[in-house]
Amino acid sequence: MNRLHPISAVGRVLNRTLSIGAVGFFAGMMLSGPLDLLPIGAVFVLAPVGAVLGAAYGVARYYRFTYELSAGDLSVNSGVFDRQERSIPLSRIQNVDIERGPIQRVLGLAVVKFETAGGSATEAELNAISYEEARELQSSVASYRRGDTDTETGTTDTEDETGTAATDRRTERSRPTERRLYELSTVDLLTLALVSFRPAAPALVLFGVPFAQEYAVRLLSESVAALGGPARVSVELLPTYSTGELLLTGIVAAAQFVLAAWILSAAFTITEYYGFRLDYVGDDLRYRRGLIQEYSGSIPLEKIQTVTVRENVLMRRFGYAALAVETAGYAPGSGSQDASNTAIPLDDRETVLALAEALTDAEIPEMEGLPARSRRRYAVRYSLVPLVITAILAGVDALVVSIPYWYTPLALLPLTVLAGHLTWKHRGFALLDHLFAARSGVLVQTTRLVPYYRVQTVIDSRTVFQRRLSLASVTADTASTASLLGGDATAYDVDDETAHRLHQTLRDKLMSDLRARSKGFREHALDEFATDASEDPETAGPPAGETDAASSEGDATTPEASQAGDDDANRGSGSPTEQ
Amino acid sequence: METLNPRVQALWIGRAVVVAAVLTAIAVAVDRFALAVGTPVIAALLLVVAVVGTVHAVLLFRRWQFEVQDDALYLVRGVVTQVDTSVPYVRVQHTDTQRGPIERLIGLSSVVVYTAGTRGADIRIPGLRPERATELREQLRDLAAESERSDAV
Repeated sequence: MNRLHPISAVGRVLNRTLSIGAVGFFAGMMLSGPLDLLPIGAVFVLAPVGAVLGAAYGVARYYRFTYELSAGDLSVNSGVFDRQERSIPLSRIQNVDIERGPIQRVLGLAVVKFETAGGSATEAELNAISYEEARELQSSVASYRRGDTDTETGTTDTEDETGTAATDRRTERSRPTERRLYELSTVDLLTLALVSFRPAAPALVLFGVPFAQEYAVRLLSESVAALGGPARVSVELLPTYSTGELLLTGIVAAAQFVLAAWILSAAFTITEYYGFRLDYVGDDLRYRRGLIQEYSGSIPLEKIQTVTVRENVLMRRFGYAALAVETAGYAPGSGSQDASNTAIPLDDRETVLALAEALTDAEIPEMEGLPARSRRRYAVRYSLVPLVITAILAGVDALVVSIPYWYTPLALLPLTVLAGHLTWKHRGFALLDHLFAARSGVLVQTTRLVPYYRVQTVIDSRTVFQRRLSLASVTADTASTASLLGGDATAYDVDDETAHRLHQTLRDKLMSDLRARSKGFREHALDEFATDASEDPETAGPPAGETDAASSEGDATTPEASQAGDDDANRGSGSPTEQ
Repeated sequence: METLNPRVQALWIGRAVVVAAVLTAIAVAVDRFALAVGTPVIAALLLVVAVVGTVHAVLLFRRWQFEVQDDALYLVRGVVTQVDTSVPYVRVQHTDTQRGPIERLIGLSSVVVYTAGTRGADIRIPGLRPERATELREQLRDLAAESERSDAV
């Protein structure tokens, strides 16, 4: 059994010594002061006693925490008072993540986190071990999984070949080649920083303002004065301003807030994604990123539930997109999920689609849009908001207290109708040979690719309004945790017949693809993709402009937009048209 | 397609009545301590909730159906939003029968099917006679085991 690295233990013990010592100190102060139970000297006894107890506990914890990787199992024993012995079968491990903060990088340490599909918290965390050992653990888990598959296919091979040929093949497989799939260029990193929105940033600016109050107010005053407003801005002077001055101050303040939040958000993104790279190693995807805190991890290909392409408004305008792969490992809402499952943070759409297609061995077509009559639903649904608000205000105005301009929300109507139309336009789905694709979202357009053999349950739902229009929404539920946040693969508002066909296809294809998979069908085309990448060492990933290299392999071509009449949308290996 | 036991309506109506009672209690408290609502309003509230609850229970019973098909368990349910669900046997992790205290009083039981999905993580079939529930649970368990062998996930 192995222990954690002694250096990390020192930090922890120190931490405990100080905290329990502090507890002792405060207890002594309370007991001798206000409560007057003990003489003042008690503090000088309780504090050191607390410190010693803390140190002892810290040391005991260090010695009690052991882990071992052997015989297909990761065992972690921990705890001083309540002992915990955890055993995780290696085949159940979804993601292995390695994090290194700046101090850890200096000391050559790393924190390793193992995720399985069960439970919400990280299943096993080794904080901290040496970096080399962390990498070894990662490879051991991966090679164990490979070793498993090797034994299976190895036995069938010996039927066909001589013993030496089979053994040679096996040893070859046990040394996995590392191939670069993608690297984030500096330009793309900066672009990503500009187009990403980090919710933490505005929150931080808001909370930070009180601390930098003087500076912020001075900045605001100077800019407002420069634009021809009042010479000095302060809370006391606000009532003395004219409406024009108030408006100016408000706009300038808002603009400065947005700018500060944007800069902070960009800074977060840069520190998180600096040096992002994605490699194909054996049967895993390995990523590494981070400027100050370094993150790296492995994503087993066989655990990938869905592949998601995300394009927010800004990205779409400039032809960019982002790619994520979803496993069953993370708890919903945990920050680590979004970043740790990123395959491509940002690149031009062609590259992103090429990797998405390589990961799923499919050709992503144009989506089948929703029937026209469902558009009405969206316009109505979104318009309800201003209508209801106006109705409420009208009611209040008539019955309770008079409200001037109670009909103003109606001005939002054209906007809501537009929002409804856009939402409708951005929704669609497609049924491919081995994949179900669903797209939705206006501000962040998300395309989810679900291989049929990953479908868990199939759910049709019809609300009252959908029933009246003979519409239904069909969802392919998967084990990926993103589904809990409303991120499931759903074909919205399709007509009843299509819904029925879709539901049946998902069910049937799930079974047939599962059977095919057990006999070994190709799940991904990463080998070709990686070869293309290595052919062009200058640019990372298949170069955007030179799709010739990719199309000559016959993989990454996207067929033209489907004909409207082509209802039975079993697209996929349709004739490749011009790229 | 199999339907639930009619007694389950009593269970659902009972739940609606409980909700109505709780809301009435809150309304009475509000009336006494905060703003005057008036007895007719409270009575109306109680009546409306009870009636809506009863109607919903009856409609829900009429709608609820399930079938043990070749490759999946198929369920049809819902009043306001109708939901049709297919749970492939190969995706069933384990099955439970559950009986809450009120269910026991009425003499009914539920079967819960667990999958690895997120939206369809646990699928519940309420309102079954205990014998039928046990039978169904074991049938599903056997179907799940069989599919595992033949389809090798």
